[in-house]
Amino acid sequence: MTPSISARIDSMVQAMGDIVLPSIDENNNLAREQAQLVIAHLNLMKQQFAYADAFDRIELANAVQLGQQLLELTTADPGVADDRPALEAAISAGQSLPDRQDALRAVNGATEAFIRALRQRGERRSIDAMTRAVLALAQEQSHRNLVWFASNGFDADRDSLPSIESLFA
Amino acid sequence: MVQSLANFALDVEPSLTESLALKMRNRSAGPYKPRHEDEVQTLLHSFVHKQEGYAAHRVENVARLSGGASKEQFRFDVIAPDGSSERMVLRMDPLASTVATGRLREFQAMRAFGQVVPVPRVTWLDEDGAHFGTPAMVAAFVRGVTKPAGAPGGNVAGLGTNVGPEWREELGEQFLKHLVAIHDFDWRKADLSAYAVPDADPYHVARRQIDWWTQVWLEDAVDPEPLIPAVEGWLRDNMPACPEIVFCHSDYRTGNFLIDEEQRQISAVLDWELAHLGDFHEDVAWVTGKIFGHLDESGEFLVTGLMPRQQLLDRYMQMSGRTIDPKTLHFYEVLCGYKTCVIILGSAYRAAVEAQNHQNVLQTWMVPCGHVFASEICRLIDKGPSA
Repeated sequence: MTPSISARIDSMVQAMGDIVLPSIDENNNLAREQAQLVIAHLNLMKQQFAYADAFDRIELANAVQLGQQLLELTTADPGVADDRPALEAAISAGQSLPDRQDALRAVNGATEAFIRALRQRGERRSIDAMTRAVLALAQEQSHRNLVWFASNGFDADRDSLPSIESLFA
Repeated sequence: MVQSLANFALDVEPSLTESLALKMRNRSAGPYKPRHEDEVQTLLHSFVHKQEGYAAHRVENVARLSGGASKEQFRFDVIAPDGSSERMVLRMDPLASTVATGRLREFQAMRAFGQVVPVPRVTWLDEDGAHFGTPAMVAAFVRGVTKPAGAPGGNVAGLGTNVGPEWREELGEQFLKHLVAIHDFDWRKADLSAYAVPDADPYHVARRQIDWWTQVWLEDAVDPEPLIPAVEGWLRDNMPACPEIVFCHSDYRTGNFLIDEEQRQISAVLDWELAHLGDFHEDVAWVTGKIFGHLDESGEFLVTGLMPRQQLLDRYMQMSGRTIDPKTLHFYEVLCGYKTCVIILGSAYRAAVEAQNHQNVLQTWMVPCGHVFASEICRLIDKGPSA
């Protein structure tokens, strides 16, 4: 029997809220704000942790999809012919990395480098197609992140966002 | 660092290049330990003593100020031998910040605008950190709040501040009056030697902003993000000409000015560190950013929490006599989104993961707001300029 992550987070939030925060000098605004942020972070992590692996999986699939789309869109563009193997290799290797965050970094890094190469050496038609593809997938990704971090309260439209659970339905 | 394949030199102002270079040198220094108030008091005491006419003064009541996601700030009292006192604020760089900027630039801007809009009077500067160990400046303390007592709310760093319906109209008019005054200021007659004047190329103003934030992304990004180079490319394809160079505050919004609740006036415009010579559309576009506003009681979106977007654009044009070009405004809205994504998803995250800021927990809390800007960029480019 081990305490669940949820129970451990709850106990930390309670300790911070009931013991630590009230003991901070009321004139020490910075310390109070930092303590409140720790509580808010913990509450958000509690919401997210059960879905964290699924979230990373979607992010990686999204990144691989974008890399593959860019390769398809530029098949006939001689300007980036020499840049294609690096992106192809990163997509292939990235999918086999055990850590999804590392994999995401590898694929997105290669994609970012490919986009910069395309901007410098590619044909206008390829560049425009790339921009459309990146923006379309970025819109999906942004929406997912807005939902994932809705409780941070930065999005003025957060009340109209669906629940975190809905991302994985 | 994100790998760059850029084969062209990025054109960043010399004084900003120095600040970026200092940031990169600091990166190897390891985690930053925030200064204790006792340590700051000792440093301030010796610093104040060096200033002309202050050899017999003493420093008391040093207290760290909250807020300030970018720089560390402390208020303190300088006591004269006759017992009279001045309250002041020390503003100093942590090892890494959300934005790497120079204190000389900020000092010069605040000094230049002291007679134009309400600005804390700047007194002393430690430009290269010779005394404090990190660049710092001192200014007079100004009474005021960023949010009136009892106002509904807002997020950290003054984002999304809701001043409440009873304050909006008064503050909105003052807010615009000061913005117009900043843009009307004849910067050519002021000592702004730390600012590089754009050259005669009408596209230089826009290109230099793209270059500045691209340089920052290449240096600071922790995790690659394909949206960034794609948007950089869109910006380079859509640069507007700038027929009139004005002084831009560049972070002008609710949360970055103080309100004197008794006088019901804006008592100080703060945070001049991103200021530069540019296009007035940039400041107007910045104000309209989604993250700075909120929905009002009827569900209408208020830019910077003060008024509907169209009202702000109309009033700015009436008060300034300038015409807002929808296409240029659209470009700068995308640029402001790009810049903020770089600051939040790049620099703030970098500062936090390297543990080089005094508020790492705030930085990691703020990183997700980069997605609000990313979403806005996609929407803006897809929609095109408003009619």
